[in-house]
Amino acid sequence: MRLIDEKGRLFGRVSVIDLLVVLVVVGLGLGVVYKKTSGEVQQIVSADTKFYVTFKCEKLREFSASAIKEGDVFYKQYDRQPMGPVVKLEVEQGEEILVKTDGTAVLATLADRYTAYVTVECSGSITEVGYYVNGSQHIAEGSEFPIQSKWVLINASTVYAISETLP
Amino acid sequence: MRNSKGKFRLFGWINPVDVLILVGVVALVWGAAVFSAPQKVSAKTGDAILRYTVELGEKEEGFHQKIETGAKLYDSVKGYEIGTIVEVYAMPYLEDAGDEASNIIRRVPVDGLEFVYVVVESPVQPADNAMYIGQYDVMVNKEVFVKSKKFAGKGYITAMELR
Repeated sequence: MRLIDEKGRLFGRVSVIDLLVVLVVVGLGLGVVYKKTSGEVQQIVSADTKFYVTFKCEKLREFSASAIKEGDVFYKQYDRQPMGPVVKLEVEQGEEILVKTDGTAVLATLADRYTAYVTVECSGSITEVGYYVNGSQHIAEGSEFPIQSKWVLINASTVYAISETLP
Repeated sequence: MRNSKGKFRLFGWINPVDVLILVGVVALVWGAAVFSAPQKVSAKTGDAILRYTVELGEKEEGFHQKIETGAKLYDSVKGYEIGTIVEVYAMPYLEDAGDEASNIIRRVPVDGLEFVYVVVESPVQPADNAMYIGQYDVMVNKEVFVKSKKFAGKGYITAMELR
């Protein structure tokens, strides 16, 4: 007996196309079941809560640092949903590791670059896992988190601090 | 409805599967034409004019002389037209250099190289999260890849002003 007959049927009985469709449907169904049952259900501690996220934006040139303003609304890069307005802004001289020829390394001052601490008032939810902005975007201290406003894009941005009161 | 040979045909002679395939092919061709065509900049009601500066780095001294004002500027990645060049100038190229004695890293000029500043104007649609020239978003500190008839380069947007 041929594996596939002249009518495209496996062992002369089962249509190959029908079999592929069944496999795809079963696969999708298994995927849905897995997604629903994997992981524990998170307890939401509070929803629609205000909290304050401070982003550390490093090695900014002067034109970037001066484009960040209190009151400007910030977004996660490429997102259309806003996180919130800047409520506090601190800018200081930048720093970078300088490896010297004698084999030592120091934290050197960057004469022409700046570090900006941008505190944004966000609305989101707090769960057992942590803080969420814009519904499903998890945000935690230490994570890289590029941000943008209408005027400026900051790629080198990390979450420096999160607090439930204005720092 | 079936034809005299017992096969399902619309109005007795059109194969519906052929029709579906034809519609799909036409839709694909239309989509390819629409989404791959170079975007034109055109002022619409409510558009403002944006003046922005692109800084091209690490160019050979004199490179700025290749760039003509009045020429159109394009995004190199997607071919979007992103404005008209209104001004061009150059400054000495600067690179980070460490001063081990004072533990300071300064930007110092490099002989033979220049920063080229290309000032561009374009109608723009201001949105809440960015300024848009069609589908192209413009923000300070955005890395850009640009080209015109006589040059190409990569750099950053260093200034923006809405007029």
